[in-house]
Amino acid sequence: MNCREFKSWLIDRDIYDKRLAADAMQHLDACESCRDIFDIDRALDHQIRESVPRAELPSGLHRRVRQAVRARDGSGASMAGRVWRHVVPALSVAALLLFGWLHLLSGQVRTVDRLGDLVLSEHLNAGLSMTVQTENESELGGWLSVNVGKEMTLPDFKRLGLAPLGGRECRFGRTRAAYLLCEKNGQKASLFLLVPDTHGISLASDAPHRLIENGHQVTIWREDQIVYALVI
Amino acid sequence: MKLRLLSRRRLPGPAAGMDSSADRFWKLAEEHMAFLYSMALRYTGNRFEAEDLVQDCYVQGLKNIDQLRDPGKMKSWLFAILRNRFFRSTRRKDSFAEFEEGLDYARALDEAVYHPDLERVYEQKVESEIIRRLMDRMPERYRTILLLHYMEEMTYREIADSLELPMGTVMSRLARAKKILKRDILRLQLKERKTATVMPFPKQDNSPRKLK
Repeated sequence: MNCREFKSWLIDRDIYDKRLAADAMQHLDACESCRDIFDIDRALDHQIRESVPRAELPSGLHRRVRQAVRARDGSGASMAGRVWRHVVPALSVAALLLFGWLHLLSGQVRTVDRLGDLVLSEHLNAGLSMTVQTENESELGGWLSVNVGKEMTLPDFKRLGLAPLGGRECRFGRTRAAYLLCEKNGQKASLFLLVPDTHGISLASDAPHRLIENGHQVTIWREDQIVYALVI
Repeated sequence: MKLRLLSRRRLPGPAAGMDSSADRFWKLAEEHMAFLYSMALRYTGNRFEAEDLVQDCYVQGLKNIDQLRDPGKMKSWLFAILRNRFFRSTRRKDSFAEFEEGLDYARALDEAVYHPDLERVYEQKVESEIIRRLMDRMPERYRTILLLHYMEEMTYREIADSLELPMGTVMSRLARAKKILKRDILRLQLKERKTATVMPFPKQDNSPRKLK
């Protein structure tokens, strides 16, 4: 291999036969000017590699994606292709939607059972697009009071074992609510805060009410004037 | 805390502790998130869009998992999804009309190596940010290959799988992309070096003149 051939190999080595590399190295041992060219090329490779390091994963992204994957799985995606895992959730969601739609015609949400069905339907069907995406409670609280209602206050996330991820407004007929997407022990959790005066629910006691539906747990309770519904 | 049970309905759901499709997908896909995020960040240029793109990529991956024949190719398969989603949504593919493709890297190398002050060519490094900008200016067909090669150190085969291209095309594009980028970096290095050694004007000459 001569100098011209060496340079040609160097700048196009990705397309040359790998066996030529041995010839090139042999030439390099005997030729100082080609060694300079080789060193410059190698230094450029090093500079380029250093300039494009892998980005650091933002905190929360891993959890957010995990959550989205789980939510997608819960909505019926299946590797095994078991029929019941597609059909049964689909039918129950359809029934809930129909129930919810019929209920919307009546305007306000009035009973705990109906609220349970509506929030579960929203939990199963809601997309993960949020108006506000934050894990910061004070940011979320600020968004809530400005966009949903001044009287709205966040519950104690720590006591509930929840990690907030974001929020958006939602409606059940005339009943207005805030939907907060959360995570609990690696699972998707939906927390609903009903705006006072837009619903007609009167709870018999302040003790939490629990509804179990299709493997999901719905807990409804009241603090001050606000009714909360948590779906896991 | 006292809980009141309102109703209990018996509908079948996934058994507790069962290895769901999402779990199986996650086990294979999780480790590639940092790579996908890095690529998404390079494409979108901002963190929020990059995060959304990564999330979308994983959701689409799970949805279409049946199309993945070889689990060993999960990384390149997910990247193909990410790249397609990005370019489908932005339609920004290859809109670099003013890009200069001249391949005079060989000439730039000659100029560098025959310069009397060769040591300074090594010292005069171009900042990483400038190199990234040079890459961003390149058409996507070159930029992505360079990133996969330099950032991920992918093999030709892995790049070919990721970009759904024949391996020969990957090899020739990579060679071409390297030549273009290295030529541009070297030009900058030589230019900066020349600027650094330029003589002040007007020339200051304080030596006493000899009168004839």
